Amino acid sequence: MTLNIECVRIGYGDLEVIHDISLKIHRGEIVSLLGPNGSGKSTLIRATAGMHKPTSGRITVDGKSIGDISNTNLAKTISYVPQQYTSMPCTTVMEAVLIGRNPYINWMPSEEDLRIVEKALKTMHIEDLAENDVNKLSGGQKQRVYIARALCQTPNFYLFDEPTSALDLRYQLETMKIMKDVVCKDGVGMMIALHDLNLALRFSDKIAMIKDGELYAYGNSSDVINERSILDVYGIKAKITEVDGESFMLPFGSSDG
Amino acid sequence: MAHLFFVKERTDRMTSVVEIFKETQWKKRTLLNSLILAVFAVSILSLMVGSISVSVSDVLLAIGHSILPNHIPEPQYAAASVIIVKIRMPRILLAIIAGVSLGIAGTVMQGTLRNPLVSPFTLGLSSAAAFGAAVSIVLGSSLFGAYDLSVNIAGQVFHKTDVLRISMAFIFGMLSVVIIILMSRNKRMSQSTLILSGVVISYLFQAGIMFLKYISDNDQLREVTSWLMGGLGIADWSTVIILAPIVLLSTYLMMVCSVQFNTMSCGDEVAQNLGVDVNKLRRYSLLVVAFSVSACMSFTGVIGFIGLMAPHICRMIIGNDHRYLMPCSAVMGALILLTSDTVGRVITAPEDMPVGVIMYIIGGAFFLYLVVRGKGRGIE
Repeated sequence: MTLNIECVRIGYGDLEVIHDISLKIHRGEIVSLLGPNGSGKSTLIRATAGMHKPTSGRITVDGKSIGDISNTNLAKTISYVPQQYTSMPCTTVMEAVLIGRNPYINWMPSEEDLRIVEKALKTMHIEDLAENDVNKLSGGQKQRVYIARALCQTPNFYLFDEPTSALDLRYQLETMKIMKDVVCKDGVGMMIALHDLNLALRFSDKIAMIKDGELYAYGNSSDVINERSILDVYGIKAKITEVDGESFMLPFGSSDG
Repeated sequence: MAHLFFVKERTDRMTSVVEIFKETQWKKRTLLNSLILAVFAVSILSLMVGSISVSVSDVLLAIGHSILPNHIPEPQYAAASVIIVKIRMPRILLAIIAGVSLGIAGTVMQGTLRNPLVSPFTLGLSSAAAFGAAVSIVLGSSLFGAYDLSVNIAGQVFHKTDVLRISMAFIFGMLSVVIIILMSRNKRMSQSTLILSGVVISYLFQAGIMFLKYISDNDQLREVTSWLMGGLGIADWSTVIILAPIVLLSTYLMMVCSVQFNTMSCGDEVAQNLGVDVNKLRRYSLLVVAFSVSACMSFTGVIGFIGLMAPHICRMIIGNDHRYLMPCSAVMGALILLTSDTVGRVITAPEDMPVGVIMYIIGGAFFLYLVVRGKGRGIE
């Protein structure tokens, strides 16, 4: 099963934000989307989730255009966690995560649904918070609640828009590790928009670099992230070094200073 | 030992999601059942009290006799049958019906627009309906003087002025929501702009009401004012027969969407990803509750507070699960309106005190108590 983005162009009114991008996300791999602010990462993710219709090209799952898949079936196929989240009034962590099962529920959740919720809470290490009010959690805890909700959708593909932005260093690593685990164990595909190039280097199977709405490079992480591409896309001088067999990116400063 | 004890304590505390779910479920069901019981109790009490007191046994006999006249004897106090069955029962039922309708409407509006301040008031529905009623009261005879519009429903004759007032209030109430729904089709319109438009629409209609009050004569002014204060004095079996099916149907249609309303609390984008057609559901549900509230208000006049507060009070106790929040708010609305109307009937008997006076005091005090007590889930 493949999530296929084919020659997609996306615009808001007359303004075209994404110019002819093609990408493939296979099951069992993490594809990271990199690029500076405003390069079109979020737009591409939203379109892939079916929120925004491309002006041309198509986005397909197993050859079927996502526009032709019913809302409920799409909810069971692709799960999307936006960058900004809405505050939920008077809702406990368990209730918030349970909402991820709603595409499968007509009225009341079954024991099976509740077990999936429990597994998601445990995966994100928030089972102790199950009865707490979501609004009273820290930013990082909230983010883990929203990821747990996405896990409950038990989809084939996950789309995350900067899932680590509200997390501290430890939870950034932990969350990415959990995602890698989910991808390996459940054999799902994942597309993640990231700002942290080192997280991308370490955890992704493939990297797509976007510059001004165009695909600058796409391939294995070590092939895509190099001093040249960082300078071109971010305008930053950087050095790639190896520590204990892993690659790291060290930024020095902007190209003009 | 201490270490062992600590470990045991932890495993005791760690309950499974299934258990937590069952426990919260029990809490929610208990609230709903208690509220239903309370409405039932207040209804019996309300049948007994008023300008003439009737004993419990006479209340039961009067009801029983009206259902099975051949098997159950008439109450000892001969007038009890008329007072209970013809006057008090329809009034109590109207209080319940209107309370349910407003409770559901408030929950649905706050849920789909994700704003805790939204109610039939803020969306302009009340003012629009009031404007419609005021037009018919002040200008009715000059506009529709030539037509005979009286209607006979279930043996009750509605006079031309009643028919005109009720239909004008209903039409304008619906109109305000239709305007908002049409405006929401504009994609650049944000949620807050939409709510703000409702508030502005409300001012527009209030300007109309002020003008009509200004040009009205004494009797008309009195009638408009009493409509604006709302009341259940119009209650009659025909009112119940007209409104009950409308409110029952709209309540059912909204209850069916409970799970989708829960999903909508995550925000539009996530809800859309979870398979909910957000804009369609919002328009559909606003239209359904507007229909039911406009219908009720066209008979009762403006009744505030419940649409805003009943959902808040229930949300503070059981949270935002619409499967329980909606029925609880509905019954809570019925309880508040019925209690207020009963108190209003008793303390100034044989005159009725406007229901709003009592309702805002009782409901407001109860809400402030919940806030000050500080337990439960808080407002947001």
